[in-house]
Amino acid sequence: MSDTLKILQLRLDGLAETMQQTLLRCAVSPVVREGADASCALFSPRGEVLALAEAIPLLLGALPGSVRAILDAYPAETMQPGDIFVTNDPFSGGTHLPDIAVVQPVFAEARLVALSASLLHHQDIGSTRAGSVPPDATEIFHEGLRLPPLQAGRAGRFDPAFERLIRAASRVPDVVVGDLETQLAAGFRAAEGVRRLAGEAGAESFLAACDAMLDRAEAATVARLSELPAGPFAGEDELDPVAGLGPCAARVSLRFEAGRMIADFHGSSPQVAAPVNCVRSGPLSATFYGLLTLLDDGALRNGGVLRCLDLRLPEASVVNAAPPAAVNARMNMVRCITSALLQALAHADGARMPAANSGMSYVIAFSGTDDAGQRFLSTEIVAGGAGGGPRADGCSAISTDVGNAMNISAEALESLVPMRLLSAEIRRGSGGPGQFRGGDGAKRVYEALTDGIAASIRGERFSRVAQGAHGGVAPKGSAVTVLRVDGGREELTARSAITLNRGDRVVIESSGGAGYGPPA
Amino acid sequence: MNGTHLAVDFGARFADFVTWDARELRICKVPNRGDVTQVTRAGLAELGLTGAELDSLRVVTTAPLNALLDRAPADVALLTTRGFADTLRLGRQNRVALYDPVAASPAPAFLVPEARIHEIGGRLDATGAEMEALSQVDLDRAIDALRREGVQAVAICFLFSHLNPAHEVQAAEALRAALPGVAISMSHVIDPAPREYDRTVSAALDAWIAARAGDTLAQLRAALPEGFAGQILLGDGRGVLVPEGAFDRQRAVLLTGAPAAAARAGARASVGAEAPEDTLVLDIGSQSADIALIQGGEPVSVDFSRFAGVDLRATMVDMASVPLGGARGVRQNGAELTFDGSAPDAPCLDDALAVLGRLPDPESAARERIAGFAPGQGVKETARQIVRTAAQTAALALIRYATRRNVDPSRAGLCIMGGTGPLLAAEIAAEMDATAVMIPRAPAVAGAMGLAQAPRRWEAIRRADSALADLGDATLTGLLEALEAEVTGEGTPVWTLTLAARAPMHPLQLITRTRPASVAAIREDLARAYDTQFGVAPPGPGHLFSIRLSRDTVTALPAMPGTGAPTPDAARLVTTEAGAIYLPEGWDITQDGAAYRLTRSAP
Repeated sequence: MSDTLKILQLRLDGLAETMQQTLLRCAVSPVVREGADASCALFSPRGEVLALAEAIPLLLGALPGSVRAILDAYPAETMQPGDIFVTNDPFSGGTHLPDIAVVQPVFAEARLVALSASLLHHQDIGSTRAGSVPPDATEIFHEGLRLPPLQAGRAGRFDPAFERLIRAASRVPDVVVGDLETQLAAGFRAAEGVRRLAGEAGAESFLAACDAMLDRAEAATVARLSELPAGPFAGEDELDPVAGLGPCAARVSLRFEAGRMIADFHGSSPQVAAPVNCVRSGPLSATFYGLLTLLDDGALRNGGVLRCLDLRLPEASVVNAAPPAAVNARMNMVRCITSALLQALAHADGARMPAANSGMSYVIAFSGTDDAGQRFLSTEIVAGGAGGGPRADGCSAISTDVGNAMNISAEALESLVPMRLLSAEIRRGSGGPGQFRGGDGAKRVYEALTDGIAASIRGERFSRVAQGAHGGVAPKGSAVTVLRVDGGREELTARSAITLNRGDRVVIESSGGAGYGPPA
Repeated sequence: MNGTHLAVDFGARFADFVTWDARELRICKVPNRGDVTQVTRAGLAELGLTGAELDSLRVVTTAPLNALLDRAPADVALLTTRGFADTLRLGRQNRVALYDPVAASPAPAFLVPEARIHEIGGRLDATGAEMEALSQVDLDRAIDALRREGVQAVAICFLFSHLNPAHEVQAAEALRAALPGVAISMSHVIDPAPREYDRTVSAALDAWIAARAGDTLAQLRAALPEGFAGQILLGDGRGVLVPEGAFDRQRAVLLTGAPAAAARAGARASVGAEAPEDTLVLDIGSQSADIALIQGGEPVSVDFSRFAGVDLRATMVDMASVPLGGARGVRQNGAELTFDGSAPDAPCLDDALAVLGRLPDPESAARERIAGFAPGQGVKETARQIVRTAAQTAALALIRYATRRNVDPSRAGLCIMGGTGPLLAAEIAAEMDATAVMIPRAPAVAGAMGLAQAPRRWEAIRRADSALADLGDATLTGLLEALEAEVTGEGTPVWTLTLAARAPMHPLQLITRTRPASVAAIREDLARAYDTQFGVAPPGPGHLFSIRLSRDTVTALPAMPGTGAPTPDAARLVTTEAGAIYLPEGWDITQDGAAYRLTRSAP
């Protein structure tokens, strides 16, 4: 193990993980504290990923673009110790507006040696609805405060003007400002560790070692990709059809040439007037994740891997939206993109790949004002089932591919909002049959304990479900049912905003994973 | 009482015994075939102890941990709130390996078979107030089923029981009346904290241990003569000694005590003027290799960890357990060797060590197994390859463990022990580019030695479950005085406050030797803790979950007799008080009071 580059990678990974733990332990927002909806990474001064936390690939993939946009606006040579940069602009590398990236330069021996970056899902950043994920948005201007890459602080503190801006925009200003401070603290912790690391061999040697680490990851990725057949391999997936809205399909053609992966998404649908579009960070997250699944356990996971990616995206499409597209509900489009990509990868490297997972997750938010006049807001993410195979049944109700969010416990939910979780179960029989069954989805039943609770429910796979592999069978689709206290019953669709009154119940059922191989 | 003590570490293949009084310390190893009574009697006989003269008998066992690593089944049932039967299977929805295309959950569903999970009606709200009475109908139905199934242990976890245990207590009383002899694990007793999944795991694991190893102490008592009037003390996961009654309250005591005792031995070996700030401890036994970190002479503790693949919410030494040990079968996995072989003729690491002359191989059985493993390749070369792989596996595990904790593995000290560890300690050190490695005296019985050196802890806990703003100095003083009345005697009082910025947030622990002066002082301490650990002000006004008072006392050990200057024999083996150390060419060995020190003298 005289492998100093491997050790350097592990140590940087450890620092990224320290950042992540700081967010999870100190964040006020339940979706971060309970759901782990945040991600951290370290970057080189050139903006290449040095280390990733064990977080949510969907968000990890958004950090390179955000850091790039900040470096474009504030070149590395102009950065000073203590500078703080932020952005949440989907069209400058971000995801959707609640995800604010905080980027801080790390100096050692008066040299810029790294950048720390974190992305955290903030509770509310304005918009037409609490939680900043309005399901009826058609333009980004409906979705909240948009922060282009900007310097938000100096000397290790946010500028008072920036804080005032955030406070003015948010329905829960203390929560958002508190969580921004937590992101800052996570960056400081990483900086301390990086400075210690750089101090051991000197800044110059540290930078050279980081470059060598990136080069090694690139070389290993080139070697791995060179083993794969050239292709092309096609993959395609599509969101549920919605009346009045054009199709939302992701189509990819994957080729492997000279140790590079060319992922061409031309042929995907044009962007639509609904918040389901995603921006470049979506296909980047999906393809980065796809590349990392190809590497073995001991591989160095850094920006060297990304050097082997050639991402080709159609402009103004659902996979690469242009302003002023609405994007707040982009997650299921990213899942669609990932499903298409994994299909293509299964053609290229089938032995390791299971059948398609559910390709969806719900994002559910309950908000309102309690009897004491205090605002409440809780967001949670509910997963579907994993695909079956290639050697066992799929796991039920588990975050898959670019997701890795955790569920929220009944005890946490009920202490935050006036809702009761009546049951949290595996939705038995919802996984696709097969030689190896797809994992089942989840079923959760909620009851409102007061009047006037706003519920925002975003899901997918109500009608168009994942297809089985090698003769396996498709799973059951998703379903959301509202059971009114007066006996009324409503079936909801992919993106719904409803009001719940005392005694009303909501039944959330997520789709299962697809089956693998013909059923017995 | 005549001041004689005995520490026993029941390992997978051997039970290690260390006995001492004011004058001398003696050691023996006895083969362990799983019968605690028999092996205890054998050890007492070999040491010439009747048991009647013992002041204390200190015990740890690796049996539950090894069973957990093997995911062994147990006759366990679970009672849970209606609608939440799947909590143990759903876990937290996250997965074990982020970039494995096949998603696998870390949830330990194996602890309770699905058919033995019974939902019971009845509900508390988020303040602990009863919304719906516990369903006697459901309870009776579950008890009938449990009677038919013949379970050995039942876990109970109802929502919000950490705030109001009434429903769990009611269910437990009904179970005790209907099923006497069945062990019961109530979640509010074992892990009185929010988040039902974590609490369910804690209760289910407790019941699983009760079913797998519930009679361990009874077997132990059966080995002791009637005249035994001493105390039975258990080494727990914090590396301290607690009375045997603690097992009835929290059976995880038996799960993590053995590796924690070894960490305690590592801590004792790594003290000294030249000791590095951080020392990595590695104990390689027959089935598992356990890693811990020593800082400032004490094992580092955590409140939550994934140990043996199970998420444990308990204060314990920060340990990682790796499936690597002398008796673990070797398997060719593609181009790699791994230590998870299950083939009956698979060689093990000890076979490779025997071929290389580091262990005896009187009937050449080890040589035959190694020869059969890689036909066509030289036996010694195959053995060297296996040992090299073991050293690399251990080194990588140490580096991963250290880097995850922001410890620089190249600057940390290294302390290796166990029956197998010292036979490849220098090679592990070399893989890490370390030029020195410490090995405690009597390394093959390190767990028992750690047990002998562990402090005896007296402690009590009081729950507050109050926002600091609502607590008030008078209430605080009442809690502190109640604890002081309960925990008397020798040892410096240590206060452990479990707090969070807000009630729903993940808690942290404040440990201080200063009696909390006031609620305001606690608030200041909380702010300092957040600043130190995370670099932020507490994101909330503060919430106190509980206060614990503890006092530790340590029994002095006599000095271990000197063995003279350690010198390798022809096979480069150095014989120690218990076990041998392999000293490769280019390495030197010295010995001081607590440890051997191997240093690299040539590249």
